[in-house]
Amino acid sequence: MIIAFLKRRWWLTSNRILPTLGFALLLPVVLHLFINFPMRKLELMQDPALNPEHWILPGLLCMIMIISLIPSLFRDLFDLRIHRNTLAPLSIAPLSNQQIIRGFLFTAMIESLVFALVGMLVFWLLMDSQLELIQYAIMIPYILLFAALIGNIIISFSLLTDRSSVFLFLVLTATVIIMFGSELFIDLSLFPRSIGTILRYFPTGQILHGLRQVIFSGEFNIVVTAVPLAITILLTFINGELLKRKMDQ
Amino acid sequence: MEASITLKKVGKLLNERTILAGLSFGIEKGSLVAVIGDSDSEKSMLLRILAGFDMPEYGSVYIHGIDVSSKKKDIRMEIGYMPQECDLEPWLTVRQNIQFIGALYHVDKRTRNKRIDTIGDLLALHDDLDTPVIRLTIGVLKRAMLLRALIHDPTVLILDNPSNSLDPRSKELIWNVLEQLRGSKTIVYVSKSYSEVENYHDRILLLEEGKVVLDGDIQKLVKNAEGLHRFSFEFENPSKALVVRLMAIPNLISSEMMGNNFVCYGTDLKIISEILDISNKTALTNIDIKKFGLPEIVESQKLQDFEE
Repeated sequence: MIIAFLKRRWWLTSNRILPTLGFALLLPVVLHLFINFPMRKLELMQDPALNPEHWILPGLLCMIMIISLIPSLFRDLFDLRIHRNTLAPLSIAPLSNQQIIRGFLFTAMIESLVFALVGMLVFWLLMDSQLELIQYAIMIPYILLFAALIGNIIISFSLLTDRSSVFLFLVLTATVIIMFGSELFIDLSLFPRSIGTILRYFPTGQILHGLRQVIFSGEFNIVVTAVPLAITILLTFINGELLKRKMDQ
Repeated sequence: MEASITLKKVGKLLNERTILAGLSFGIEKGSLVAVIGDSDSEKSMLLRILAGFDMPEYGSVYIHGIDVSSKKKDIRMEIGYMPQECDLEPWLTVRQNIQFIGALYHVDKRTRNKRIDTIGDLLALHDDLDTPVIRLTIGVLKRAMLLRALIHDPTVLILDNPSNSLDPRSKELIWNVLEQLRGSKTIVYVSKSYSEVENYHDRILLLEEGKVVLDGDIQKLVKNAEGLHRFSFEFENPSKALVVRLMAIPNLISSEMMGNNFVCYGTDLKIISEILDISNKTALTNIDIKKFGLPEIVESQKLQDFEE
């Protein structure tokens, strides 16, 4: 079943390969120019020994994943559902609503991972100093978990709304909150203490926190990985039920 | 004959309004069943329930004797559905759309390719299989949707207006394929075209306000109306004496004056000469003679319901 969804995703990508490649290469360059450059001059990290470019890299990769997940999931679960009714033939195929959600989510995650890997390569070329290969490798499962969580949030917005204006409002608001409140680019210690304490419990921020702990301090924190993972599994289940309700089944 | 589809007291509510009311009927295996009725008769809702899109609020639907609510996955393998509106993915080609759905129905790649080629040829789709859906006309898309509905070789085909607003060639191609499948697959379809229904059916169901009000084949439905014609003669200022004489013509099944129009039903075409003889001094402004067919049966049923 997943193979069928992956093939579909590949067909969609290969039918527009040049714009996709251009976007995949341009996005990390843009992020490097507009985020990495100014951030180099700001002392945002608690640890002054840490290279700001290294600290910010996981955040940039997560940003690439958010940007690549939104159009893909919006298209599959909002646009095509509302305007083309293409979810209908899937809803009467011999697979459950949970399987449909997992199919769309998994393939969107794989696509966004490819974008992130291209981003890694571009950042590797653009950055003054590079991380070790093992540090790049450790990032992959964390950013996949991040993509699964964000993907589920986007799927929920896609299924809960029937108007593109409402979807855009929700997704843009969520993106801003995640960008600034999940340690993508800004360390939580820069927030007033009370707000910083609340933000520390954000599952998206926990993933980034856990990732930085592993690659910069070598400490693996099971809690900051298990909690977002549990929330992701729960959200996937809820989205399956939402789809069932949306398809009136 | 073995029943392929059985409905037992199936009812559907929408916003607390009953839109399908206690439907009970069976459809024989391999038969071609046409569902007709007004736009508010909920024909499409009936098809949606049969296809598994919607579940009834009460009652049960059985496909090959299995309750659709109990073994959903098994039942879905048996059903092919073609909706009225195009629901193919616009940025994929026809082949990719069909390959994707085929894979979800666990049809292996070799069989999928073989079916795409064989049925695609019958539907004259070979030149359009590798074109993105967004660039194709509605005639090609409908044929592609029929091919998609057949990719997993279902035993039951549910078709919502399969040839509605299509060019004559596409209509012909679609019906040629359906005619070939007749007998081997149970086909239930909704149509707005009475001539199409008259040509292609083993059985006709007339749905009115969520109820089956007529059920049978065209011969059965017009059995009592064999050779029956509807005559309409419009006169310029008909006199009372003329009306009395017209009403007295023997062998009329029913007759009435509607303004200046004398409308009657009968099987004997001699009625025309009799009316012309009687009305020789009164100017006739219009004559309309219709053989009784499916549209008239539907109309007369509606009139009967209204009078009741």
